[in-house]
Amino acid sequence: MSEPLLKVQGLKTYFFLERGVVKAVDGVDFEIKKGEIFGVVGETGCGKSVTSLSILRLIPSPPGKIVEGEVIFEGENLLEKSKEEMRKIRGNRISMIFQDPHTSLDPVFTVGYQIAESIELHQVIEQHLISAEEVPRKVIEMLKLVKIPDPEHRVVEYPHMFSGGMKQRTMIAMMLSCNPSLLIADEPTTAVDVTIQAQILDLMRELRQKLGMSILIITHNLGVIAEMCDRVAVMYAGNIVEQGDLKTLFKSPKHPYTRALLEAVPKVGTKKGELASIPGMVPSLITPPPGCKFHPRCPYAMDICRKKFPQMVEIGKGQLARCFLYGGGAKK
Amino acid sequence: MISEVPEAKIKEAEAKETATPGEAKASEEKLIEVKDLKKYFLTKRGIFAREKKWVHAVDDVNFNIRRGEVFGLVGESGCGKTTVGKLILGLIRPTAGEIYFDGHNLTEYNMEELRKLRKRMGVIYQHPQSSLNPRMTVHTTLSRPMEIHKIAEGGKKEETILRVLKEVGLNPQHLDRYPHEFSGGQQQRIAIGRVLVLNPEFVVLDEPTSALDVSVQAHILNLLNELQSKFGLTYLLISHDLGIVDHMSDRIGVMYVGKMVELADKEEIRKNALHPYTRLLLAVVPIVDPEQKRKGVVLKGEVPSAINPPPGCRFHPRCPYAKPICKTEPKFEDVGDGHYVACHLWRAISKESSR
Repeated sequence: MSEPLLKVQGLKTYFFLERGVVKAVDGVDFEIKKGEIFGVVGETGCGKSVTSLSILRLIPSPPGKIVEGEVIFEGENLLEKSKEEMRKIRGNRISMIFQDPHTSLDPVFTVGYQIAESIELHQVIEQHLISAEEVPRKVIEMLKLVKIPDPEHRVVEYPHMFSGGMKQRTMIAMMLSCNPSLLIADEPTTAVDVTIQAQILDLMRELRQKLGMSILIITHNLGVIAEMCDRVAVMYAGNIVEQGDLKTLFKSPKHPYTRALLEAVPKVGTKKGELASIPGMVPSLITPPPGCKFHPRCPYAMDICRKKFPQMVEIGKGQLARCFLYGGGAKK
Repeated sequence: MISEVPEAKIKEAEAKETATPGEAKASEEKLIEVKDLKKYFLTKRGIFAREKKWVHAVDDVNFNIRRGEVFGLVGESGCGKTTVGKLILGLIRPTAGEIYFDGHNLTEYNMEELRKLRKRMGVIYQHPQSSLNPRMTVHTTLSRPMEIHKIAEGGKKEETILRVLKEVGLNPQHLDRYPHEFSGGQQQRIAIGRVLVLNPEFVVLDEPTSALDVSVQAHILNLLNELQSKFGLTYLLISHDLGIVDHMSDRIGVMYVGKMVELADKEEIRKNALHPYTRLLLAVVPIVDPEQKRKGVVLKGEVPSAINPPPGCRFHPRCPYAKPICKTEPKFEDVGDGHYVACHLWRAISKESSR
C-alpha cells in the first residue's frame, strides 16, 4: 500500500490571547492520498483555515502556536523543519491559493513579473532546474495553462487590469509554476461569481488530471465540495466530526451536525417553507462545552454526550464519525 | 392617532393569515411598478478626470411587484440588482423612467416627500456590522426610526420595541447591549427588528444572508419567511445565490449587465428557462449532491463591463446560440403566462430543448 502524500495526526493549534486560550484546532487527523482532491468543510471559526495554515507553518506566532501533533508530508515531519527548510517547501512542493485574489497579488508589479519571481526563486536559484533565460517562456506557458486569453500581451499588465476570475487564474498559475505535489486552496471561489466559479473549478480539476497533484480544498460551500472532492472531512469547533468518501458521506451522513448542515442549504427546486436549521450558535473556542462540543445543539444528545468527548469511530468503508450514537469509543 | 394605524394593520394581516393559512397569497395588485428605468453613473478616469464615461448600471428595466409576494432579483456582481433596490427605495434618483409605489410616482417626489413615504418601506443589507450604528444600543437602534417618523412615543413605543424584539427572536436583556456584542446572525436580527418597528409594507432584502454561515442563514431565511406571512409583507429579494432566490421567491427576475433578461414564476424559471444566460446560471450552480453532476456547459469569457456594454443583446459575445441578429437590441417580450424574456432566439431555443 502506498504511503499517503500528507498525513496530519493529532494536530493542535492554539492561540494564546489575553482573554484565554483559543483552541482553534483541537486534535485533527486526516490523510491525503496522491492525486486526490480532499475537502475540508465547516462554518466560520471551525478551524479549517487554521488547519491549512498549520500545515504550511504559517500560523502567526505569537499568539498562535502548534502545540501538538505531526504533519507528515512525503515522509517528513514538517513540524520539525527549520524555517529555512520550510521556505523551500512552500511554493515548491506545497503551494496555497487564498480566497481573495485582489489582495494576494501585489498591485505595483505586473502579473508576469510576479509569476516570474516565484519561478526564478524556486526553479532557477534554488533548484537550478531551468536557466534564467527560460523564465519568460515559462511564464507565458503557465498563463496558457490556466487559459488566460492572449497571454503574450496580458503578461505585462497590472493586476487591476485583470478581472476577479483572471486574477484567481493568475494565482493558480503562480502556484503551479513549480509543480507542487500538493495545492492547498482556501476558499478558492468565494470571492468570484458563480459562472466564474464554475470555470475555476473546472480548471482546477483539469489541472489535477494533467499534473497529477493532490488538492486540499477548504470551503464553507457544500456545493463546491460535492462537485470537486473525492473525500471530505467536516469540521466543527476545532475537530473533525465526520470524514469519508464524498458519495457515502453526502448520501448517508452519520454525524448529526453533518446532517443538519446538508439540510440547511437552500437548493434550487426545494419547496418554499421551513429550512432545517441548527438551534443555537457555534460555541466559544475558549470555553467549549464539556463532552461532545456539538451536544448543546444536537437533537440526539444523550447523557454521555455531556460528559465525555467522543472518539472517531469507523462506521464502514472509510467513513468515520465522532459521535456516541455510533459508539464513540465510550472510554476516553 | 398615527400610532393606531400599524396596530390596525397587524389585525388585518392576522385576519388575512387565518383566511389563507400558511403562505400569504400574492394578490394581483401591483405594489411596485417599474417602467423603463435607467440609471447611469458618471465615472471619471485618467489624469485630472479627463476621461468621462457612463456606467450603464440599470438600462431600461421593466417589472412590477405584486402586493404580498416575494420578488427575487438574481444576477452576478455588477449586474445592477442593488442599484434597482436603491432606486425603488428612492435613495438614488433614476436617470430616466418611472417608479410607482402604491400608485405614488417616486420620480416626481422631492426628498422630504420620499422620506415620508419611506416609512412604509424597509431595507436589510448584507453586512449588519456596517449597517448598524456601533454606538447605538439595541434600544436606541429600534426606537430611532419611530422617533424620526413620529410613529409612537412613551409606553406605546416601548411596547412596540418589546413586541418586535420577541418577533425577531431576541429578548429584553439584549436591549442595552451594543452591536459588537452580538454574533452576525443576531446582528441581522436587530437589523430586521429596526425595519419591523415601522410596520412597513415593503422590504428590500439586499443579500440578507451572504455574510452568514449556512446554519445561521437558515435561521434568518426562516425568520424572514415567517414574518412575511405573518405581516403580509412584500419583499424584493436581491441575491447572487440562485438557491436562496429560488427557495424564497414567488417570481424571479434575472439581470445581466444592467438589463432584465428574463422574468417568470419560479417554477417556470426552473423548468422552462428560455434565456441562454438564465440557463447558464441554472447550470453552473454547484449541486449539493455528488450523484448529480453539474450538467452545464461552462462558457468562456467573463461578464462585460457596464461602461462599454456590447451592442444589442449584452450576452451575445458569450452566448452559444448567438446569431448576427443578436447585435440588435432584443425586445423584453411576453411569451405567455407572465413569462418575459429578452432574446431574439427564444423560440428556436425552446424548440430545441423540447426535442
